[in-house]
Amino acid sequence: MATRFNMFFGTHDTAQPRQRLKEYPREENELRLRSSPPLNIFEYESANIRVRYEERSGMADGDRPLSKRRNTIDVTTGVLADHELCNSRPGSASKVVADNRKRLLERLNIEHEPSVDLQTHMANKGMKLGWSLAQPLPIPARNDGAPGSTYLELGGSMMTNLDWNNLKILNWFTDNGVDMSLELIEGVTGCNMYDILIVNSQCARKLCEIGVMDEQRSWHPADISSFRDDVKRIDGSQDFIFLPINDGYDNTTGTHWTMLLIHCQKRASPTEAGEYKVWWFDSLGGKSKRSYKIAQVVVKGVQRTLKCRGYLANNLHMNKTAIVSKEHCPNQILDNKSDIDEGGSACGPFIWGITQDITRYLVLGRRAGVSSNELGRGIDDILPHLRNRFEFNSANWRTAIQNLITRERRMRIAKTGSDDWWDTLHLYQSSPGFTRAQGAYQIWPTHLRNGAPAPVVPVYIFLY
Amino acid sequence: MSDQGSPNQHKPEDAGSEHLNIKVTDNNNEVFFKIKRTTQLKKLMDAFCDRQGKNPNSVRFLFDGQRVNPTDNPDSLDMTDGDTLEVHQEQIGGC
Repeated sequence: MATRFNMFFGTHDTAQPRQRLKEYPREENELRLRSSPPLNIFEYESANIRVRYEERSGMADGDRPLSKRRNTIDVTTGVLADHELCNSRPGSASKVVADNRKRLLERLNIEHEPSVDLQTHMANKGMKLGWSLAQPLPIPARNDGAPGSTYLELGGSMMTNLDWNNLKILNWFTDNGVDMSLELIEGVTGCNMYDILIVNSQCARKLCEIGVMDEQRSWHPADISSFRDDVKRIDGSQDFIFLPINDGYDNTTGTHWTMLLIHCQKRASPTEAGEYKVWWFDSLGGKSKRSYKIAQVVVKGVQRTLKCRGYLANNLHMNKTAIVSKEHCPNQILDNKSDIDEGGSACGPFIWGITQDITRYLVLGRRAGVSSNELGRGIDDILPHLRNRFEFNSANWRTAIQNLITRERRMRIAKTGSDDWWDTLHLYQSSPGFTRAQGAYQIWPTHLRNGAPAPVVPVYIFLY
Repeated sequence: MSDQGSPNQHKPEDAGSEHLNIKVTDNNNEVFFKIKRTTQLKKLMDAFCDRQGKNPNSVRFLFDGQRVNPTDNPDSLDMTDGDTLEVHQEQIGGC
């Protein structure tokens, strides 16, 4: 069966049951692993987390069934690798990972790998060695099952049990669901390495508040200083800014999600006036007038924020030309391949889908050496093909978001016994002076963290 | 505005004091709370929602632009006396 590669799904052919993973002989996977040496190796390490990511290529698309791809992804992200490393068998896939790690250590001139007594570590965490993906996730102690309890927390977003259920039972997307799904894209693609920023809905709402200030009477740069913590990620260093727009940012609940994309062209000096371009993606064909007005106000907020940061952004404004025309923009009523029973409430999945599609275009372009200005101009070229190329399937996207969230949570729990963000709970308990608030900024750009060294950002891109 | 005490009446306290005064505002109302540094903010959130007649699941609490977890406490967030928690309505969309 012909399959289409997708970074998040592995393939659109979701009919492959996951249980079949065990039916494939391990030797085949080993051969695959050996035949495609990793192009790049990324390793992240904190107090008690050691995660390794590998980027591979050399395998034709469709050459590798989902079940085998999935196995490779799990091994390289370390979910299975750790307990496999303990019981490493000669020639197993885990040995390949171990060999790669050894080679990396040699390259880095590290004589001895820090000893990790995983068995003791996992026993301390109350986890049984040999815990596998087939077993249900252990429920962290702080999640008491109540709707308001935290299901998963990331650096800039959190999700409760209620939000998780909303995601599964096709309810409308909440801001929590939107923020988490977008932040996962940011983490998966490594956006902050390529000057791409995906802000969360809380930040976008603050920008709306800044934009709505009356310029003649009350607005003054000093007013924005009170928002500095809320909008600190908008600092003029980004080339592309994605902003989720809800039509309820003026303190109502809202009914519709749309996506705003701003391209800030590179300039020679920060004080030079830059060129800006705005695109607004609406899955209702640009008909939602209220969302359009809110988006205009948000753009005004971005312009004022950049101005306060010392960037001349006078020509940053939004008019009708920013609306991606209904001929080009996928429509949630006309183009959605899911039935209303399977994939209703499609505007939330739409903004996730459009963001992951364009982000992937930008990231892969940057990795191939294309400048951000060229990529920005290229967006206009790809838009006419967007509706044909874009497979609008909100049910699939909901599944993809659930998979990403589950994978993030599973990996964190498997590694640390906690679903806390970067296991900060453990960190600030064990080291005096380390606070949760500091931990939350670990993924943010270097210049926002007072000159601390930039962390290695994991990249999960698999080019089979 | 609030019947729980005005911030002007609060004496400056030592940094190591056990209690904190925290303002909770939702643009329309301001409510002042005095809580222990180690008390979970869930207690404060529930009290605020109860007072305003809101469902705790339909509002978002933010401190310095960061979402506040019910299991957080002022110590874990590095809060100081007089800090403000913002409350916002949740946003949804689907049509």
